[in-house]
Amino acid sequence: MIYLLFIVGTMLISLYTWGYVNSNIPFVHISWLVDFVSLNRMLNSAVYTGMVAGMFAAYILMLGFVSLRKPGIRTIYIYISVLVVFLFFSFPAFSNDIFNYIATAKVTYFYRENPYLVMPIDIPNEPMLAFMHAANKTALYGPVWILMTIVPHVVGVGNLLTTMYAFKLFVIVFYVLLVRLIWTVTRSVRAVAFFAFNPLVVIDTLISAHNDVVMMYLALTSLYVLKKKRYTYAVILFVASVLIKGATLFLLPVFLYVWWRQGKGHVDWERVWFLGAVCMFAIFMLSPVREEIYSWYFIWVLAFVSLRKNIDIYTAVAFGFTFGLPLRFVPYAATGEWTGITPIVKKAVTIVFPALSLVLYLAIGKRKYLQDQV
Amino acid sequence: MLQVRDMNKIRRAGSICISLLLYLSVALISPVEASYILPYPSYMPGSKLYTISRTADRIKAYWYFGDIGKIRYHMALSDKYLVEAKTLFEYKQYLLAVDALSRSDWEFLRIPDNLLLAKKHGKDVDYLVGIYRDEARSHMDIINRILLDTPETFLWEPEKEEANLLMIHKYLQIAADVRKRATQSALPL
Repeated sequence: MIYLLFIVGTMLISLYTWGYVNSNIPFVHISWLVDFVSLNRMLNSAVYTGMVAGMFAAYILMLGFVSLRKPGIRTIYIYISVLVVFLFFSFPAFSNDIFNYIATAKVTYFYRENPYLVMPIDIPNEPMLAFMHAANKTALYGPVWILMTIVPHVVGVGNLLTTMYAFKLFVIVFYVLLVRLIWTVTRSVRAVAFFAFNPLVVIDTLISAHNDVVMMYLALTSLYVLKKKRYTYAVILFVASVLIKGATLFLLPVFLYVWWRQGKGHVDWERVWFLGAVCMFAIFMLSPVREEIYSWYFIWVLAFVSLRKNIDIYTAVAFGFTFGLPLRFVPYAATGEWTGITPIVKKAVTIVFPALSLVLYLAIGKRKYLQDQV
Repeated sequence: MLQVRDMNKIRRAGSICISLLLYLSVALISPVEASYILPYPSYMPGSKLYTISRTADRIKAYWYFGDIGKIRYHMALSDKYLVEAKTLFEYKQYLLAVDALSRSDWEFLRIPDNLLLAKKHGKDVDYLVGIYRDEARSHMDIINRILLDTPETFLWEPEKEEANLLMIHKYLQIAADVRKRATQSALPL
């Protein structure tokens, strides 16, 4: 029954995303769904909030199931397969970044221009300009990402729909690899479930196809091979990760720490994952300096938090962010505007839910402590 | 009667003055409409960084790949070398100035080929053709000003080498003609 509910829920989410297809995108429009999303904004924002809340509830239930029933990794992989298969067919509803990836790859490999000099808008007859949101920007990502995108660009054979799916598949492959790596490193079903079913990860990777999992996969693999003292591979992978988005440069102190501890003969890996989470949290919190906090940036932190054995105050804060960050989309869904009340609500949901989660954790922790004393 | 004749004279003189003023305002005050902005002079010959700057220009050719990239590259260098030539003409460094001017011409002449290639590759570059024409007008404005401030020819006599007669106005005229063609043709394409 739970399995069936999981499948139906995932299918419904996948269907719901098709309501966000921009009228200028040359895809099939499910008109009743598009009308519902664009004409019933308040109701739609409630549906979106319900979707996030539902996913979060399912996530808690899944973690509870893992903790109580102790299923094998195969069972978890089956659930992950369901997520991957159904959400692969979803539309990247809550972010336009995938179209920026496609356009940058097109500028590079189709028009054969330098994407760091030529913006999509510099080619006025490019059909994607009709619906792109960042056409007036040169490439936002590092050269390794641009090199990698030749794969989905070629697989897409010049068709927008197939290219979109090729990019989604490309990102999903790295999601699967990252999940597999978490299992290899921790041998913990809880750790795998913590990351793989996280609503924020699911929305921003399986639906919106953000490339953060690619960067994090390379960074974590780099640490993994560093653990095995294969320094050359570690350096190559780390540099490749940095040259995807740059955020993992903040992991440099962690790499130096591991290298230093290896010299001393012992590395406390629990501390390494903790330091990784702290470093990535630092760059996550600094993101408003560059632009603003985007929900998918928290994947950087979650990848490290999932590796930790202890469920502590940091896990609690991560839960808060996991619930709060996807809700940053709600005011836009309700008003259709990025200005007005939207920025305030975005800030509020970003702060309130981690704070609530923290208070809740401290309250429960105190009660537990008092019970232990009695 | 005499007063009426004087009044007519005054009126005629007044109308001539107004006509002259109108003519002058159109002829002198009305500027060349060039929305194109040229850069500030970069490193000049004699500076220690000049060679590095020239080497960097050559290396940049690899970075500016693609038709649009190359168009921008040649536009930027044509501007840079023209500004360099202008500064050198002002300081009466005619030999160096003529060299910079010829480099600017060479870069400018590369632009139409790349505009053609871009069109051939299916890129709408009409806006770049517009920028190219603005650039040509802006360059012509500078070249015409240099023409007024320089001698027609100049005998360059280095201490240990043969003297060199520089046909300054001829070179400037060639540079102006190159730019003029760009503004006149329906398209350089």
